Amino acid sequence: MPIATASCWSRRGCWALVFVVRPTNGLFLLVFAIPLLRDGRLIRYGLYLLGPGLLYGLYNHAVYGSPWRTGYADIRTDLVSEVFSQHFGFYLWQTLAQCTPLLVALALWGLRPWSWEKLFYALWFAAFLFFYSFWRSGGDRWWWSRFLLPGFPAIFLLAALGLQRVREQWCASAPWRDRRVVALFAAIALVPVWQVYFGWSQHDLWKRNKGHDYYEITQRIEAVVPPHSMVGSVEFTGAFRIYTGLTGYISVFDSTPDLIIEGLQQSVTSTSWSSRGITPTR
Amino acid sequence: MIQQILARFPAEKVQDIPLWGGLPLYRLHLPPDVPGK
Repeated sequence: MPIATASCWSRRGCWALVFVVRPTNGLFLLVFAIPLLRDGRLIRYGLYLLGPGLLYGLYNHAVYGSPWRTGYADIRTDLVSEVFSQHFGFYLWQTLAQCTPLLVALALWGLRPWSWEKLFYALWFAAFLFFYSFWRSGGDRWWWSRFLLPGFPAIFLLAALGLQRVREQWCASAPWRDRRVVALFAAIALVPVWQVYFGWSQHDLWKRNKGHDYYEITQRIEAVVPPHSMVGSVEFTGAFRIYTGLTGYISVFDSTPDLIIEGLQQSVTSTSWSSRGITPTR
Repeated sequence: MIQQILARFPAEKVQDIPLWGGLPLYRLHLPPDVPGK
């Protein structure tokens, strides 16, 4: 096999593995149902997922006893209708702010004239928007929009179609004399200015070294707890493993109290702390 | 969930870790009525 072909297959394999390990990528099944119904031969691209999917199933079987059971806990309790309206508005607003109103306007402009392809793009974004509007967590900080990232390419593609429509309607001849075209390209040129402003105003994006924080926090905790402690946290287990001799566990799972009891019965000193600043209720 | 853990186990607050807005650190103790203890 030529090296270039082998490299191509390894890239496909890596991408497919990354794709299959995240359960919410199942939303793509809904999205791609439309093109698949119109042309069943497209299923051949899904065959790339077979090998990595099989590997993932074997791993899950070895670790969790079933190919269908994953390291993700049961997410059904995390989908609640009470948060829908607030989260839906939040994600729309964040899409407007982060993709910029110009890109969103071009995407909306690109929806006409209507076609199956555009329905596909619209459903692609809508699938992630609607699903995560039901997701319990989120709806307060800009970085929750990471949930929508798998759906953002559809916005970009629709915006490209919108730009194509602009070209067809406004750029028949001498477009540089058309003030609308000049204004549009001036607005496009200003998009990076908005992006930098938006990023600069997010202090935790630019002005903090979070990697160092992970190191610093785990070092400080190691200094005050007994050696070989089990330390519970929301998101620092990896840092405890890498930077300390402590054992970390995630303190938000339902099985956590059982884990604590087991650890305590094995005479391991257990310490739990919160990254949300919650004070004890007892 | 952390509140539930703290409600279930006798706990003492050790200190606040000042980074990230002050993170409370608690030491948990085994409750007396744990089966098998």
